[in-house]
Amino acid sequence: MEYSLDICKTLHSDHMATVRMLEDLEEALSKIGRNTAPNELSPELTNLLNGLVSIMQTEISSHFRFEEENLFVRLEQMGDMPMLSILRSEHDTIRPLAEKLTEVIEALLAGGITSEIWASVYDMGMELAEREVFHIQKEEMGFLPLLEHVITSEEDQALTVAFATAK
Amino acid sequence: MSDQGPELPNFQPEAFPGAILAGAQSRLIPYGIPLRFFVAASMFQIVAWGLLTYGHADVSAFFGGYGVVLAALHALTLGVLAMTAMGASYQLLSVATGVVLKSLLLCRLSSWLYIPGTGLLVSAMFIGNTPVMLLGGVLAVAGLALFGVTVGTVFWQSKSLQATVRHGWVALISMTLLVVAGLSLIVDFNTGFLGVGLLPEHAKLALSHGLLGGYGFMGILVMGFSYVLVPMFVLSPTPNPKLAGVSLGVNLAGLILAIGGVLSGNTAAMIVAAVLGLIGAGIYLHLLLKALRTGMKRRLGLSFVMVRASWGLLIASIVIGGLAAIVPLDFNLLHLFGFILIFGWLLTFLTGILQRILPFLATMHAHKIGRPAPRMSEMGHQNITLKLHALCHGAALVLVSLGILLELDVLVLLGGGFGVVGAVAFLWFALGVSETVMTLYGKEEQSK
Repeated sequence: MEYSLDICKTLHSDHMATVRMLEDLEEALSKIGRNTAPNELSPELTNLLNGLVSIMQTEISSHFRFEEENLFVRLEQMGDMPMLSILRSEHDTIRPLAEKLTEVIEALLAGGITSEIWASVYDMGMELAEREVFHIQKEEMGFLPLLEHVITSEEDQALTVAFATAK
Repeated sequence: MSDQGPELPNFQPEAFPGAILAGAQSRLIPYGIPLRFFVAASMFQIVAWGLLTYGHADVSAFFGGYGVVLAALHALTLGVLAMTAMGASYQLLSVATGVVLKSLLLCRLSSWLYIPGTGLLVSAMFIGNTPVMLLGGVLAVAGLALFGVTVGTVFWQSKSLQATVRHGWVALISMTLLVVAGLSLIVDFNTGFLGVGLLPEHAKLALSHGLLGGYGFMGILVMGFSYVLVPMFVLSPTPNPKLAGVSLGVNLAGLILAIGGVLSGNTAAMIVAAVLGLIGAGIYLHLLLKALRTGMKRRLGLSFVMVRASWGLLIASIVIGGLAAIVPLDFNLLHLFGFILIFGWLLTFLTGILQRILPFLATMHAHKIGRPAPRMSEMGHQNITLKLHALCHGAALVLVSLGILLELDVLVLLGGGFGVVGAVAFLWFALGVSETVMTLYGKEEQSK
């Protein structure tokens, strides 16, 4: 994807990092399996889970909120946008899922590897990966190209600064 | 940021390729319309493999004429391939181009004519009843004509996705020629008017009919849709439309030359046609493989295993077709060519893509009625159904191909059996996804 606006490039960059991380997570979880909790976390898996917690915090606490408070509002000024209701609805589904996943990953990283916690990490991790990647797919193919049509260069500068501050 | 954005008098949110996602919700047609085509296609897939299994001893000996092999071929081409293309086109073209379908009645009417017409035609081909074959053929053609008018209107009005639209026009022209040839072939079973004067012989027209259907109508349509669907699924930039146009031009030249070669009995023309086909398909694959390389998504799942396999089978079909032009009777190359083209490339590609489209549409319908979207991976018992389908489909392709090459009917029988099991698994998947959507709409009705 190639974008001309800085705000789209920044959002795209976030999306790339998130997709990579979630695909790595899916791969790692698939390899281990749901019913075979590891005795201890490998350094690679620990890094991956730490990175995931960090990504979820930036994705959820800044990226989602920034989109909702700045970009969705801006597009809604132009009239009814059915796509935005889909994106909002997905934010509402993904946000609590990510919060719960963060909690169980933190419990896991704190040394509490039980089969129950592992199964929760597996289930929620796989669900988050699927839902978030599909959400990003919609934003990349629909939302960001729409912003490219709508946002002026003056707005672009202001939005880019605002996003950097929000993060 | 400013409170009010600029006025955009010419703003068209659909004027970019990703609008297939952006505008999907507002341009969803009633789920029952694409669903009836997809479920019918899934059922005809069982019929096609079933007939192939039943007629395993006749496959290598088939040189035209009605019977089980002709019925199996048409259960697959009309019953599965064109059926899927109709359902997908009605839904996807509208959201992808941003052109709203003028009349859903035409879509429904086409299904009422086409689905029973195809059933009748396939049954009549099996039992060898020409008048019923003609009746089924006319009904199916009437359904295709309504399809042509509906999607032709979308193509005419579309200002975006020009590569796909250009492919669509070529596919529709091929479809028109295809049905003229098809009806002529049916009439010729009783009248024997072909081969008289300047009219082509039955066998040559039948082969041309197959080329028009495989590469012209379905092949070009599949290529055109690929330029929208593959980038959407892998999250890549849209393939270069100019190169897509070059691919279309070369493929079209190859198709015209191939049909000319078949009708005139000119082997050299058929060989050049195969070379052109390889170049055209090579450009097409170059564009899509680039999309896969540059796409944001790396884990593409089982559906793209099928899609990649189908691309290999596309090339294989052209190579085998070229060889069949030189030595048609050696190793049953002509039969193998037809099998790899239809059951190999086209069926593998369409089932690969359909397993992504069905859950995708289901989530869009959930959003439309304001329900939380179910997880795509949990629809249709995919862990069992799609894996079983892929394994059986692969085994069926290998076994039937070997059976044709080595003239071992038992391998065709075995392969056909695997095909049936895979097709049943695919129907199970399609019904499972449909059930998810029906349940969502049922809950919506109850809540009112």
